[in-house]
Amino acid sequence: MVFLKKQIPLLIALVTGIIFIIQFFVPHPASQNLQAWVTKWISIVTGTALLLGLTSLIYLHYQKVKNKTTGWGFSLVVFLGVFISLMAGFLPTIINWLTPSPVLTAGMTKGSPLIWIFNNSIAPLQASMFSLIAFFMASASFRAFRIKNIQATVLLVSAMIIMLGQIPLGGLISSAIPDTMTWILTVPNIAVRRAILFGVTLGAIATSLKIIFGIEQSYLGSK
Amino acid sequence: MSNSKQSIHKRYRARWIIFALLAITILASLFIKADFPFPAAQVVQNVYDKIESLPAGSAVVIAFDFSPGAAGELEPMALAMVRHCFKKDLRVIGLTIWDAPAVPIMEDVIKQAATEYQKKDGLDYTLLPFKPGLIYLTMCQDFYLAYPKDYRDQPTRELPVFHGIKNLSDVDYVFDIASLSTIETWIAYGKEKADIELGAACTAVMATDYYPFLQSKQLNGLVGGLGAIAQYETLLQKKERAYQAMIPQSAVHLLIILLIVIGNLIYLKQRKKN
Repeated sequence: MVFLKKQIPLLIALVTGIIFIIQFFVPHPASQNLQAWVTKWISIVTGTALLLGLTSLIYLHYQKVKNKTTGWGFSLVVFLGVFISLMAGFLPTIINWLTPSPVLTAGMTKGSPLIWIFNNSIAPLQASMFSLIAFFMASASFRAFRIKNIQATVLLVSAMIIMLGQIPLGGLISSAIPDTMTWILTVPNIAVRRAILFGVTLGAIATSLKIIFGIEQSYLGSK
Repeated sequence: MSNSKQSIHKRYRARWIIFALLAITILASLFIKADFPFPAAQVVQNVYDKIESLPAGSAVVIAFDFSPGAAGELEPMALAMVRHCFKKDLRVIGLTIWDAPAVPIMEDVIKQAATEYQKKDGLDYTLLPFKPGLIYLTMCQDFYLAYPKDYRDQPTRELPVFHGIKNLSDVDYVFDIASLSTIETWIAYGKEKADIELGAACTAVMATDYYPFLQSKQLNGLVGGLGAIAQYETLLQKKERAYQAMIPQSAVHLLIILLIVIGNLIYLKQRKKN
């Protein structure tokens, strides 16, 4: 069992990891075909993972309803949402199968029930959530943006220049405002972002190598 | 009332005053109509110039990689970009790598612009279905392997819009409109693998992340946030949603600056007192 649970996954990670590092740099048709074949598999696995995610979500909320944990009523809303969405997706297709000619618009095309749900609930709800950020930012900037020291003062002045530079009024006050904004974005910002990018990328390479060579095994469930 | 309760009450009151001020500012500014100059930043101008430089019939891939939550900020850019392509008689291939909810947004935007410029589905433009996973890699090798059919289940190989395109390298320009980290993946798997010319648009909060890629020429231009989109609309001489949104955005930015100043004056006064 240990062999199946540990050695086999480690071997798969080692072999596929090395193959696909080499594959990225080899333009031979055989190498390209291998990549196309694997990409198809990735699409299938990603699609299956979505199904797994749905199952996990339903199980989690079922447990909440069963144990009547705090806010279990919201879990019922989740069930209702999942049920309505599934029905909106499947019913038109089933009805179209049963009738000689299609009577309902199915799938993600315009006029289908799924698109109606999308336009009238998902889109406005997500937009509302996103819009709330403005309110919290305004409140947070009033309470937390303080000139406590030199660093905080530099941050505050930069933020104010960026905020003014992003709107037409900044340019109308003085052309120096958008120019200074561009300088902040293209000089200090790039320097810091590049440093972070290098750090993150080197970290990702190190972690990938650790996974490929079996040093990092947390993905197997071990600590 | 104890001191701590008083302090919490005071904090909540201040928060609600700020929320009310912000709501009033946004609502009031929606009624203001104004025309103002808004010169484009160089990074925005680069995207515009690239589209202008493409000869009629060139193929442009527009990736709609944004969620409905970011549609308020990025949909005007999608519309402006599709309009610009149609105005220049370019072929548009719309797709999404992010998620299925972007498909209806893509359909709405492309069809609106197609109606305005009398463009035909399959001939001047096409929409491709959502595909999860690293579909970029397959596109680099063979477009028809990645997308054998378009969103209407028509074989892509037979569509005139794909004439002369075998893989991603044959596309003249790729423009990613993103609210997530798809720009990086387009750079890694599209730009570097297929040597495509790549431009991008993103939300304002994400824009700072992509400036290093402009310097390294991995992105030819960047339209970051509603302000930059308004600049693009100004260049296109189609001042619409993003341009009109500049008045509420300006009002909110000014209010936040004012709040920061007031907050600091209170802070300095308290510090002096202590």
